Amino acid sequence: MPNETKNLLFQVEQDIAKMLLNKLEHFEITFEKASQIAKFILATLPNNLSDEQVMQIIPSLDDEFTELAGVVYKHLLDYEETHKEEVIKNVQDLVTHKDFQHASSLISDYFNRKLKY
Amino acid sequence: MEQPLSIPARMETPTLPKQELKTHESIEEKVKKWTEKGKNWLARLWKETEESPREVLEEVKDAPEKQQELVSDKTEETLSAQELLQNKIGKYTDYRNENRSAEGVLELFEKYIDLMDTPYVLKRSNNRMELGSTITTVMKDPSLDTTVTTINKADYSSTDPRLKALPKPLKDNLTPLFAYSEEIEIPHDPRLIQLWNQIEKYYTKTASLLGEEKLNEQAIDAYGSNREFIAHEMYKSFSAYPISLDILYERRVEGKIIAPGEFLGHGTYVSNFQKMLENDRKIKSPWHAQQTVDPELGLRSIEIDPGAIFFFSGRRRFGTFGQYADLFRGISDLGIIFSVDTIIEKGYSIGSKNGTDSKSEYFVTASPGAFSESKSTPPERRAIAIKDKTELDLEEAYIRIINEDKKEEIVSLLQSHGFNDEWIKEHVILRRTEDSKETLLNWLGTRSYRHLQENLTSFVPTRGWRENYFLWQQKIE
Repeated sequence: MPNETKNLLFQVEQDIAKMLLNKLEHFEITFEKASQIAKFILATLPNNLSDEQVMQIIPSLDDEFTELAGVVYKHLLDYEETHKEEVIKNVQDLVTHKDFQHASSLISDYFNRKLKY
Repeated sequence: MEQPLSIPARMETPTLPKQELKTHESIEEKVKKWTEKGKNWLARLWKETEESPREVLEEVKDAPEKQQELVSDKTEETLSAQELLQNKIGKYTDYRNENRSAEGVLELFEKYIDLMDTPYVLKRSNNRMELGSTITTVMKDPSLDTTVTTINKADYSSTDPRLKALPKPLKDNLTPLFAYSEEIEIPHDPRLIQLWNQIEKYYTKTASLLGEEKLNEQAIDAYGSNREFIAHEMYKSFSAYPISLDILYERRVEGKIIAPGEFLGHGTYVSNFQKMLENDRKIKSPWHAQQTVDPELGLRSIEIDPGAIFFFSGRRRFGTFGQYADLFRGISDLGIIFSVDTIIEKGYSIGSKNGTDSKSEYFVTASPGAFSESKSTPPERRAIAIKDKTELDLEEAYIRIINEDKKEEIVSLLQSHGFNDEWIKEHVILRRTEDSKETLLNWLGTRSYRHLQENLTSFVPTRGWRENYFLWQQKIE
């Protein structure tokens, strides 16, 4: 698959596939459990999801299988790093223009999301 | 017009290092490794992770069908792993043959302590292991750079209802730490007791270090199991979630201590036994410590009678009890008690629950013929048969009923199992009555428990169970 089409869904699937193979290799997971996780991922992350849709789903993945926590954490951190500067810049603009309500709301959303994740 | 505010320079907040999924080996190396090993399925999947991970997931979905391919590979790993294990703890089997010595067992324990001080990763086995299996492999996990120990399950199964009580990561990874198998007859040596206490201290220390702090369960799973996980599991297993309470008493017979207890393995817990004894002389069901009976598992609190062996078990779907679950439910709920002497004098060691081949069935009431109609017809029942047909005289058994309200029900159950009214009248003793202790003591005095009668009153739990036990032993010998 060309690089430009390696969207978030692809990356998540790739990370999970590697994680499962690693665990299978080292007998850290049963075949049955690996199968369950794969089934779950295929069902939860259907093809053609947008990055935003995938991002909405990612935090809940490890609710079902804690084995996925590493992958979830990695992508949440990615997301956070990507969006933090953007949020900060927006908030700075809003505060500069004394639009405290929106600034507060934006910050609040940001932290709520962080806490939720 | 108001001037825009100036924003002070933003303070940078520290962030955790980004978690990378550990692979260490490159995909090319993985593909090469598995191709060389002839494991084309794995090699191909690794290769596909680069271009079509979804296809990989589709195949992993059917992984159970590919199990054999990997299992055969596991054998290769196991061989070297066993060598590693032997380097670590020596030949385990050496300690299980007839020539085992106190020194040998001591060494084994010391090695275990040494092992406990190394970081571990506990792994699940692919399948539920048979009873009696023990540590099988020690592998080096390159992704974690720690010694990885795979310990077979003893009597756990992922569907075991007991696991419901455990946190999810533990459920998924639950494996006995020290699956001592079958009988480990420990030669008597004071050093063993000392060492045993050291192990207990280790657990206590571990538990106290952990405190009540909840471990980051996600981290446990995400970053691989580690020492904390083990400590956590140990802590949970020994303190909060003892799986079952198959109590084994230390007992010296012909210069040997028979089964001074086992660690996890068959779900035998002695570690916190002394504490229980010291606290309130009760062994409590971990799930419902406030209840006398766990409705699902059939576990219950039971009062400790020094020198007695408890048939104390739950209604289990797997493991030792298997087809005798119903029988056990009846018997264990009734709490029939034989003295250790009765068991020992019959030549049985304590500690084995190893399936059909075991001669020394710890749970003597697990006998298939114990309550079969053909064995004895009510109201003629006089004995409970042990596995090899030897019978334990029911004259030596007694029942203490905790809840008087339950007496009628229990009596009915006993009658249905063939106990006659005469036996019931004489052997069923109510607890928690004003004269219950005296009644029991008097009763014991009429049977082979005579020495217990004397010592029951001098048993001072606060001095330490083992110390007392050995004082007691010396006294009666």
